[in-house]
Amino acid sequence: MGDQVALETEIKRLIIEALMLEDTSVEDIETDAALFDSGLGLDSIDALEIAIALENSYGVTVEDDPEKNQQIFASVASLARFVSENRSG
Amino acid sequence: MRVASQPSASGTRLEPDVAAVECNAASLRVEARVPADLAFFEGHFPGSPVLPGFVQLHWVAELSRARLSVDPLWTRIEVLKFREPLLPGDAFSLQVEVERGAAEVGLRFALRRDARTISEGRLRGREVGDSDGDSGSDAGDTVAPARPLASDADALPLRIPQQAPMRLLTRVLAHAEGVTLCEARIGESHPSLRSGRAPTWLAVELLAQGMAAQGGLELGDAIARRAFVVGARRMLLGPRDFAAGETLWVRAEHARGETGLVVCDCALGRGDPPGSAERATERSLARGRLLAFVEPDPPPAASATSSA
Repeated sequence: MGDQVALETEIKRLIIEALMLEDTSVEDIETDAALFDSGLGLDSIDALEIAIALENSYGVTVEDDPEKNQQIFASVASLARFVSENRSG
Repeated sequence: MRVASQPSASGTRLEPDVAAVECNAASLRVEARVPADLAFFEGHFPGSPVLPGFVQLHWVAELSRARLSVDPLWTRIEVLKFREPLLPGDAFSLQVEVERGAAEVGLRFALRRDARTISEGRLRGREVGDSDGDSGSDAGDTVAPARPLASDADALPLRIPQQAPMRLLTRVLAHAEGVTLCEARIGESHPSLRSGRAPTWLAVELLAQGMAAQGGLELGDAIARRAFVVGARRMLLGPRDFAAGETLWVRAEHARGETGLVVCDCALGRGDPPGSAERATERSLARGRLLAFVEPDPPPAASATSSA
């Protein structure tokens, strides 16, 4: 469980870094809050960049499946679940 | 996407129609309209005019220079998003905020149409002294002679959706394993030229046309798809400006996606085209990761246009 929290924090850092979010710290991103629309207000361009960052950092593959991706990208918690289930090495 | 009923045949205008301006020392708000007969619509694209993204950046920089006295050497596009295209006749409002550091300038802008943010970005520049600020190009920056980088016989066939004067690519020099290397030439009639110089923002258009070529060659039918830039991050800008008639290489390396949202690592430079990604990075004048919406189908005009 501790590992999952560490991973969630890591993913928050990765999102801030990949999107060059200004004035946003790890503490500002809620693990279960919506990343898109409301919440951080990210869009499909951001999602693509997060996908690339996840692929580069964890060796996961994000496929072009809008329905599945909507679930994966719902929140930091769902991203972390996806990474821990699919990461290589 | 809306399509203008009549393609503008001979637009000559270069600036937005500004209706109102409010500004103080560090911010600017402009209400304006995109003229229907803007020169940049000619050939971009035939039959469906769309304001090229680089023109928005140019307008932001020019308005900031005129109204906020911000005139650095622009070095970086930190974040850039084009969510929706600007079309002929569109009314828009532009908000600019400037942060001045000791040697650096940061600028953020948002462009809205009907209360929706359709583009936004953060730009960064370096303050330059008067001595090196107005020379046209950077010190030690030699403009390449306007000679082709390869003979016609060496070029790969490719149809390009942009037409003169907005077409910048002249030929494809190489294409293999997701990398396309093109030659580009800034034609003397390109509408971004003032006194023979085109602004640094033209790099965005050059790289986008390189991506469009990469898209078409990857899809196998040698017809460049229209690539609408939707975003960029950490894009490095090199020269203060480009010269009319100069020849450049443009390199696009596929990073993700075939059509739809496509990501490429792009670079451009002067002189001999680079043989590897490392050389391209080393020798580039401008480079960065570009996100574009690449249309899956060839543009309608392509079938009626020869590759010449």
